[in-house]
Order: sequence, then structure tokens, then C-alpha cells
Amino acid sequence: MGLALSAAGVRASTAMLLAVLAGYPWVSHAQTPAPSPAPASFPSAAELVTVEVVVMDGGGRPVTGLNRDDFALREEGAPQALTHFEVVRLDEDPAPPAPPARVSTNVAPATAGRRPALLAVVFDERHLAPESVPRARQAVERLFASAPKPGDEWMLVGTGRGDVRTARTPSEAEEQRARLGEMRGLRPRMTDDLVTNDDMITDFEAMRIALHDDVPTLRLVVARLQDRERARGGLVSSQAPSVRESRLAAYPSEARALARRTYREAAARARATLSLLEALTNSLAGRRGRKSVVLVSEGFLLDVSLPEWKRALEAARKNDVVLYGLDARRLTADASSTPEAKRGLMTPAGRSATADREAAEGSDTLVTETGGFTRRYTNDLDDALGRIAQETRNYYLLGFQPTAPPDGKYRRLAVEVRREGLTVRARKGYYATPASGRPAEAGTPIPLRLAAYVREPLAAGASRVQLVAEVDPTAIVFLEQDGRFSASVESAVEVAAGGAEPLRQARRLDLDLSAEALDALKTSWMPLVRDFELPVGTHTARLTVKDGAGGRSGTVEHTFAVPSASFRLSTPVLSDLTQGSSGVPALVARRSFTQGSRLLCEIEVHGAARAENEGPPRASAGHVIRTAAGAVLARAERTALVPGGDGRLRQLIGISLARTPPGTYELVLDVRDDVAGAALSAVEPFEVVAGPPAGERPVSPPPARAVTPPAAPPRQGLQAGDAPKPEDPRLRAIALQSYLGLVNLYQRGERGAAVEAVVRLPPAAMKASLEALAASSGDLARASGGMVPGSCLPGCLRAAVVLNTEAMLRAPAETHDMARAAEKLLEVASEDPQFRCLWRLAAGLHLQAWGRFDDALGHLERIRSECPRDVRGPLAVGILHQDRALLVLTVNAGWSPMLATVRNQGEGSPTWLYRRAEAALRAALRLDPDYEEAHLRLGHVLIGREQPDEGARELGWVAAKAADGRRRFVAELLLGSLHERRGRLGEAIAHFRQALAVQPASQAARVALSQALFQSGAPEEAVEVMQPVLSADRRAVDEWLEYRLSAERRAEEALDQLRAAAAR
Amino acid sequence: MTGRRRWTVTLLGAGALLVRPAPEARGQDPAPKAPLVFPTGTESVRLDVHVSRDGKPVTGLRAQDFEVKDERVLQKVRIATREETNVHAILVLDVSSSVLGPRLEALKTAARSLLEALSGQDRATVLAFSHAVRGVGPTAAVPASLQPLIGGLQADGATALHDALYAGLLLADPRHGRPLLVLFSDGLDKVSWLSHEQVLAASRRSEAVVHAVLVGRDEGAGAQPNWYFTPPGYAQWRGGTQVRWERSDARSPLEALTAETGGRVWAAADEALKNGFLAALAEFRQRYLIEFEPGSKRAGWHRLEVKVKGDSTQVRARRGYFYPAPGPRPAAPPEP
Repeated sequence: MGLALSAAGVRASTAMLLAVLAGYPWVSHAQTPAPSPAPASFPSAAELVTVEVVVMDGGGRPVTGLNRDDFALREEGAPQALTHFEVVRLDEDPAPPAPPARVSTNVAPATAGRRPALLAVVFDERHLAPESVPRARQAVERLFASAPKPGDEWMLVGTGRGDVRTARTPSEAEEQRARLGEMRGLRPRMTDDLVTNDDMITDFEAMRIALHDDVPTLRLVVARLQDRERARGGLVSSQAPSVRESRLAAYPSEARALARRTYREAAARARATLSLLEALTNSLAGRRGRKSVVLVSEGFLLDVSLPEWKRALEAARKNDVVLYGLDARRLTADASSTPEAKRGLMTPAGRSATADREAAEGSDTLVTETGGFTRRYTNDLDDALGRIAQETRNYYLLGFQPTAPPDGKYRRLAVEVRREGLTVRARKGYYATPASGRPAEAGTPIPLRLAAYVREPLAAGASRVQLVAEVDPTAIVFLEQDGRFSASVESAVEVAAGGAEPLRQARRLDLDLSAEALDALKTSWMPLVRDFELPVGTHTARLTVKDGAGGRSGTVEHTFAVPSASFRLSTPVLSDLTQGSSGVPALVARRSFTQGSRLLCEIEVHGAARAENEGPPRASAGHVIRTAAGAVLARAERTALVPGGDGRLRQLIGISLARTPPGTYELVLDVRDDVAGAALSAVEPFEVVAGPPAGERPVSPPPARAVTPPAAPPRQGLQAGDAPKPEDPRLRAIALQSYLGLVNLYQRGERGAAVEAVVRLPPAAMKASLEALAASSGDLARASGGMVPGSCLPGCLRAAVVLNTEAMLRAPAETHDMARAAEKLLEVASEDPQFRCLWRLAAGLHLQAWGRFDDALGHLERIRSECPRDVRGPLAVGILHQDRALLVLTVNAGWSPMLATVRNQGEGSPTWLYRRAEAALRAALRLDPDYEEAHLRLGHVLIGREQPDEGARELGWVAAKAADGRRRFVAELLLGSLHERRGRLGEAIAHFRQALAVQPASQAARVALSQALFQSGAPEEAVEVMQPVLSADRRAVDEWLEYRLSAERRAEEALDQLRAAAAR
Repeated sequence: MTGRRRWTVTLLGAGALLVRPAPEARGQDPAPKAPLVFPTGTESVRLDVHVSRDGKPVTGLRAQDFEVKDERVLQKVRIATREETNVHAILVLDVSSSVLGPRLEALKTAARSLLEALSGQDRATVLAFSHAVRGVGPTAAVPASLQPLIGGLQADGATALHDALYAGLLLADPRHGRPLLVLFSDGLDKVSWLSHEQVLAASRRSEAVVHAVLVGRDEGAGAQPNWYFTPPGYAQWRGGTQVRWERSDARSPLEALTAETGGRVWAAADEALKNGFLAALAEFRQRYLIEFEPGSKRAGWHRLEVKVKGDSTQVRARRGYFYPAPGPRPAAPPEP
């Protein structure tokens, strides 16, 4: 059967298409949204991203009892609304059987049913030394000692042979434990003497030399080779000089050859393990429940040049597998017990821990990236494994719908818990691939949902049952020809009850659509409805759908009951769609609805008694809406049901979700037979998920009211439930109105609340509002396309600028965007250059405090051009360059070898930064020759530029003439430090004493003086000077720190001034 | 100087190296009270030595088994008796905001365990530091008396690691027992006044053996990065990610410091902190205390070499000592 859809008729998008589909026998009726012609798009599970979260207390124990509100989840820094929340506790006794779900789906995650645990142990034989194996084996054996629970799977695989042994039953678990005995350690054994080449170099060193030609490492290995030769009696002074020099010259090439060979072997071992991990994690794709892989290994190198490394990481990320690392080596009291240290001269004392870390960087990184942890040097392996097992069975499952469309890229996630003292661990990101984050491969099923509605009773105890199926159209392949798209979808449904012959119906749906119609179709799932006549009892319906062109298929089963009671309710029809314009809710196969939409619930009461066996049956019904925790949000007292034209007792309930927070709710129906006195109740759970950005945030529970059929709720004005697209001007108007409300709140003095609300606004909505305000110079009618009357006058605009600047402090991830948005507004907010420069100072300093030096510099430099007489501009620029130089120097001081490359990179090097700092500070002093802060900073910078005499002159000026004691204090400290560096301890001590006299409570001054005294051989006095520091419980920030970390304080000061200026 | 003086500390355990006349000989109280007085008069040199083979401590060595060279000159040594084994444990604990959460609890447990493992004759000093260094209880106190105070530690602020280490070294008075300084930290120093080199110089004048227990980078899920830990600008340099910073390895300078004093670095997970602390103490108790009278009275730095004769053992000891110049306040001696 072919269907043609006219492009002209696509205005009503999905509704129109669904109306066309009504001609197909499976579809019972056209469906239109209850409150508006545009149907709300149901957030399919296929678009849901789930994150397993482990929360631990201070003792490392899993924390229970948390709820949805305790969690915050960010994607790429942007807060996400949780649309799914589930507490998984597999350790607890099985819960009593839950009532059958109203809807079944073949798309994970289903919210009902037990989530099986999957624990795979990878015994990394290739990276285990033989001596580590017995201990590791015993620990894993104890882990496997308890049998898996029904549905659980335990896997064991060794990297030596690569075969996987899976256990689902106690007997299989027993076999698995026996298999442990076969595990070996294949990592080369280290010898205790310097005999073989293997003992001359670590895998990490080999990689450094082979891949990066690392000269310091090469020298280290050469030295070892020489030591070995000396130990063997070679390289002695008695050798002829020519022989000796020839031998010495040969060492580097010998070391390089050794490095290449060692690296090849290490890379081969790493490749084997990584390939196995990739295959294993890929094999776990599509499984429900937490998938944990324990890598029992001494670790392998972080070698990103290996393609296997990236593939293994991607496989783990895509398949949502959590990796744990377990290094079975003991915590030892001596570094020499580690294999590397056993190599004698090759590792200096205390170095072995570093060597171990280097050797395991690759496995450690894999583990960390997937949300797991590594246990190393632990003497309690059971504890470590027990914790892993516990995490596999006790966790929280969070779900959210990404606001950005899937682009196939990796997106970073961050999960926080809003309670103190708790630790959270979760995967750090996911791949945003279309269709549930998984590629639409032929092997993955077509997403389906299936629900059953038991309607009115029929003859002989049977009831009419409507099966409603929904198919994800994005999983169907449409073939394009001459601008039209065709597809063929076959479907079959079987309903079985007991031993009876199953009822079966099969159909084929041929579609022939224009591009517009296809786009419209894909905005919602395709409904398929079929009527059955079924007897009392429990039935299982099985639906199979196959895509003719794509070859994919999907199957879903749904179990439901046809009740026997004569006085009963039909299955409540809870829906956000209506059948055409009738106002009657349409059947849907879901119980999740978008925030902002309006619901209709239709119930029918059957079997109510008639008064004195004549007249209409009399029944009444009321309802309550409550949260999953039982809090009643709305209540409607029982009212009498009015028979319809067909004589049935029916009630239609309207529920607005306009201000309903996402979460799980229950509609509890209370029905009474007013004649016979019988009563029954029904609980209909449903979920509210976050909808598209709306102008107002949800603040109150959903109101509910009963209406009489067939009147549908009237549609009034703008409703978030209309699900406008982001570019919809209505949405912009809502966002603008909401934003201005916050500006008004701010102007009324409710600053904290307003700032908090701005931070919580969707960044895109806030940015759009600011830009709209800026583009219209505060003309609200123009900004909103006539939807918002009035105007935002200069005072309002300035307040908006300051409000936005304050919000920058609270939202570091968006600071830059917010600053840019506010900058546009600034252009129209004030013509006063001082106000603008003040704003630039506040914005620049905030950006600097958050480490965005380049962005900060842009604003601060603008002060110099826009307000050339304002000394604060060049001063701020100078301090920024100075801070940055000090930061680089601190990092380069040796604390972080990872940052060694920052050194000597020309532009951005300390020398370059100091030069720019000096120029800016001198510019400030040209504007104000007596500016103390500029003199102080310049003196410090000049010392950094190796111009100590000139620096000392500047500092001396400050120490002698500055009115501000804090500046004199810092100047004295810096002068003391300068003298100390020059070896003039006596003069240094004198300056430090001066500093202490100015700030007696300063820790820096006391430490400086004490250390100088100690070095000069006066330890008693050194101790005495430090006593006040050690005995006082001081929390105040030292003035020295105030000087070093001044950006945030200065930003706050600038913000205070900006507030005052805006108020004026 | 005579070779038959009584020693304030005579035995095994700590990495003391400067030996002075007994307090009685100087007319001092053997149990000094605050303010502490750091010893200065070098009469003899005392050296803490750890000897191991295949990772296991070697015991039963005699004085003649050791070969100690002071400025390349072989010295005649003796091993102190076991009569005085008291330890003065100085715990320097990082309680900056990065340890907030489970790590702080693990740290408290580890600190209590170490105090428990000390005897009633031992002494302990606890310093806690963030950007501020402060004493927790009295200096050189009975270990049990400090236990209740550990529970009150709170995490807050930045990390002034160098300043705290210096304070710990300053308080390592050997008259309270052989000084063992155990440092715990998980942070990077950005706010100290002192530099690493200055702390290293101070360590050469102290008798403490320094052990550092560090937490690996993958153990900090609960830590909230703050201004001090995440240096401004770093994210910018590295493409917007702070991962590399978190990976940064804070151990290199500490390895230099611990090696200089004869101690070592212990890497530990949160749960293994206790083991790390106890392992440091256990190793400390397995040391030899070697004494010798230096042949050279040259003021300044003396480089030491320590070996066990004819054996493939590993020897860990401090790398030198300062011989003080005469006079009340000598000028700064040349650095090594």
C-alpha cells in the first residue's frame, strides 16, 4: 500500500502526517496535541544519556538515601536537567514484584526491572610479574567466591591467551575459579644484579629515548651502561686512552639500540592488552546495568602513538564501561623491592614510586577516564576488590537529554553531589552520536514502545484491548528518488495468554513522503494502534517491526492483565495529544511528558450499580497528584460522573505541566460506586522531563482540575508547552521578559536572588536576551517583536550590565561568553566612558582571576585606549603580566615537569611577560608618579628582569615613603629577599625585621626572618621568631598572599565601584 | 672535643647527624621547654643509615662493616647502642581545601595510627598547614595527648608546603628524640614565601629524616580545584583542559629533599595513607645510628659517602652535614 503526502499539507507537521497515517489499518485515529496544533516532542529514550554515579562517604562506603535534587550534572560546563533518576541497590533483597509497567520498550534504559551486574576481571598476564600472580590470583578467587545472582555475569579473561570465561551460575563460577589457577605472569623478571641489558632501562625510559630522543634520559642509561662495565672490570684507567675513548663513544648508540628494542617489546605487550580491552568492552555494548572491568595489572605505558590505546579508550567510553585498576604488588617499606629499584644503580633512592607511576601511566589514564580508580601499593587487596564489587552493585543512575543535538563528538561530563563530605565518581564524558549515543548500525534494534489499554468489557467476560505501539522513525531507512522518500515497514503482533493459541496480526506500511513530510515525521514517533478482544487473565504481547530497506528490526514485549472485576476502571488514558479536534486524549505508548505541556487523562468506570436496578449507574471520582515521595501537590475531591451519550461513566482530567519541575509523579484515582458503596483506586505513575528552554523556571507543583468532556482546555497566549523551536520569537520574548524580571529584582535590592537566577538561566537564553536588549537599545517592543511592551531605560540597562557582571563571578565556565554578551549591552547602557572603563576593569579582573588572561587583557587594554588618563588601566595590565610571569616561574620551579615546555617559548615566557609588565607599570607612573602600587610592582618586576639595583630603588622608595603600610610591608619583604639572594644575610634580616614590625602577624615575614636567621647560624632565634606563627590558630590571609593573589580582591573592589556607579 | 662524651641520643632510629655534648655538660634541661633551642655545637657527627638487600632491611651489621667517608676521607665510626631509641615524630599535614572529604578522614586515621604506634617514651609534634602553618597541640608532646586533637583538623585554604616543611625542620630538635619528619600532601605549592631551594638548604642544617607520603593524582575525585591549585592561565595554555595540571607530578622536589635527608617518598592511595605513615615509621626504626668524630674541622658543608663493605646492599643516608663556624653568629656558609 502506498501513501503520498502533499508538501502543502505539512504545515501541521507531525499532526498532519499522523492524520494521513490514519488511513492505515493499524492507526486508529488522527492525533493532535491537546493544547496546541504542534505536538510536544517526546524525548525518546534513544536521546537519553545515562550516567552511572558512585557516591562514597569519608570511609569509602557507598552512600544511600540521596535523591535527584542532591545531584548536579554538567555537560561541557553547562548544567543539565536530570530527566531520569534511579537508585540501583543490587545488594538489597529483591523487592516485591512491581506491578506491570504501563509501557514496555526495547530501548535502554528501562526504568523498571532489575539491572544485572556485570563484572569482568582482566588478568593482565603480559603485565604481571610472576611473583605478583599468586597474590592477585587469591584476591580474585575470593571475589569470585560468592555466586553471581540471577542475571549477573562474571567474566574472566587473561591477556596471555585471550579466551573469555563467563559465569552466570554457581557451577559456572566454580569452573571460573578453577581457571584462575592457569593464570601466569609473563612480564620479564628483573634480576638482582646488573648482568643483562634488560636491567639497564625501564620501559618508560625506552619510550622516552625511542620516541622522543630524550637526551637526559639517554645520559642516565649511558651512565648505567658505564657503571656496569666498570663493575665487570672494564673502563679502568689502566686501559689505553684510545681504547677507553672509543668505548665511551660507543655508549650512546648502544643505549639507543637498547631503548628501541625495549620499547618495541613494551609496545607489543601494551598493544596486546589494549586490543583485548577494546574487544572485551565492545562485546559489552548494549548490555543493561553497570559494566565493570577490573584490570589486574602492574600497568602499561601511556603511549598515545599506539592506535590501540585510543581505540581502547573510545570503546570503553562508547560502551559505558567502567575500568578499575588493581596492582597486586604490596606496599613495601623499601623502594628497592620494586622491580625497577632492583636494578641497582638505575634508580636513585626514593625514585621507584615515580618509576612505577610512569610505567603505569597508560592503564591509569584509561581507568581514570572511565570513572574508575586504581589501587596500588595496597596490602589489603580484598578491601580494594570488595569496594569494586560493591560499586558494581550499588550506584545511582542519572539520565539527561542533551540540549545540543548529537554531533558525534566526545562531550565532557561533570557530576557533583550537593552534600558535604561525599565523593562522586562517574564517567567523564560520552560520545554524542545520533540515536541514543550509538551508531545506527544494522545490528542495533529499531527502538519501539508498546502499551496496552484495557477498555470496556464485552460479552462473555472479555474486554476490548487496544495495543499501542510507537516506532522511532529515525531508525527507518528512507530511499530517495526524485525528491521523494520511500520506506517499507513490516509489523507483526502476537498476543498470547496461557496455553491458548496466540492471536496474530501482521501488516506492511509503505510510505512515500516529500522531504518536508519526512522531516515532520521524524519529530515524533510513529503510532500504531490495534484492537483486540481478550479474555480475563494475563497476556503478553510481542511486537516485531522490520525495516524493508535498512534491514533492521526490533522487538518488544509487553505483559498486561485483563481484570475480572465487574466494577473496574478502564486503563487511564494519560496523554498530551488529542484525537483530532475532539478534545479526547489520544492513546500514546509512553508515560513521560515534556515540562510545560498540558495533559489530559480520561477514565471510564465500568460495572457501577444502578439505583434500584434502573436509571443510570452512579459513581463518583476524585484524584490526587503527588510526587514519588508521596508529597501531595494537588487534590480534586470526588465529584459525580456524568454518563455520556453512550451511557458510559467517564471523566476527563486536565493537568498543566507549565510550572512542574522534572520528576516522577503519581496520579492517584479514587472511584466509588455511589449505589453499591464499593470503592477502588488506581495509581498511574508518570514522569515529567525537561522541555525546551522556557521563559520561566518551574517554581510550583502542577495544578490539576477536573473538566467535563469533551471540552479541551482553552489555549491562551504563549505557552511553554507549545514547544517552540529555539529560534522562535515567542521563546525569545519569554526569555527577555524573564530576564528583565531579574533585572528589576536586582534593582529592588534582591541582588543575591537575581544573580543566582541569572546563573541558572540557560546561557543561550540569557545571551539572546542581552543581545536583543543591546540591538534595540532597550526598546523592549522592538526587541521582542511587539510581544513585550515598554522599555528598559539607561538605569535598567546599567543594572543589567552589573547584574551580568556579578553573575560572571558565579559561573566561571561561561564567564567569557557572559562578558562578551554584557559588553554588547554596555555599548548602549551608558555613554559615560568612566562607567565603561569601570566595567572593563571589573570584567577584566574577574577574567584574570579565573585564569583567562588573554580575554582579561583585551578588556584591560581597552581601558588604556578608552580612558587614557585612568591610571588603573595600565596598572592592571602591568599586574596581569607580572602575575602571569610569576605563575610561569612557579610552575617552572620544578614542581611540575609536565610544564617544562612552557619555559623559553618566546612570546609568553617570563622574560617577555616581565618586559610588558615593566612597560605598563612605567606608563601608570607617567600618569601618576606617586602611585605607590605601581612603584611596588615595578620594583618587583625589575628584580625579576635581573635589574636588582633599579628594582631596589623602587622598593626603597615604597618602603620609605608609602602611606599604605601594606605596601611598605611587601617592599621590605622583597628587599630582604633581594639581599638574601645576594648573600647579604645581615641586611636581609634587617629588612625582614622591618617587615615584621609593620605586620607582626604575617607568616611570610616570620618565615622569611626565621629562615634567614637559621641560615646565619642563629637557630635559637629562628625558632623563637616562628613560635607565634605555630601557636596561633590563624586563618586570616597573609598580606603577602593578598599581594600575590590580588586579582580576585581587586575584581570585587571594582565591582563595588561599578554597582555604585550604576546606582547613580 | 673528646671522644668519650655522653650523647644526648645514643641509638638507632632516627636520622640525626649532628651530635652535641649532653645537656648536662652544657647545663641545660634535658627536656627543654618552649621556646625550643636548636642545637648548634657540633662535637661529633651522627648519621642515620638504612641498609637493605632485596627490599628487606639488613640487620646485625657492626661498625667495621661500614665505610663512611667525610669529604672523601675514611672515618672511624661506631654504632650507637640501643639504649635510647626514642623517636621525635614531626607530622606535617596538608589540610588545604584539596583534601576536603574522604581524604581528610583518611589523613586523620593515618595520623592517629602513627601516634598510636609511638611509645610513651617517644615524642610527637603535629603541624597542620594550608596557606597558614599552625601547631596542633604542644611541641614534642606525649603522642597519646595529641590524638584527640587530630579529630579537629579541618580542610581549608591553599597550600604553603615549603613554609610548613621549613617549620617542621625547625622543630626537629633531637633532644626530644631522633627526629622523623613525616609530610603528607597532595597539593602544589603556590603561596609559600620560601622556595624549594631554601627548604633544601634548611634540611641540610636539620637532623630530621624526611619521609613524604603523597597521594596520587587519580585519587582526588572529591577535591574541588580552587584558585590556588589551578593556576590561572594554565587552562589557556593547554587548550582549556586542566587535566594536565592535575597530572603534574609534585614529587620531584620532594624526592630531592627526602633523598638529601635519607628518607624517601611514599606514594599512596587515600585508603593506604595509614600504611604509608606506618611504613615510614617502621623503616625509621630499622636504621643504624652511626657516630664519628670528623677529622676535618672546616666550617661549612661536608659531603658524606656511606657504604657497607663488600656487599651488594643498598644504603640510604643523608648526603652531608654542616660543620658550624666558630663564633656567636657566623656568616652564611657556602652552599654545597
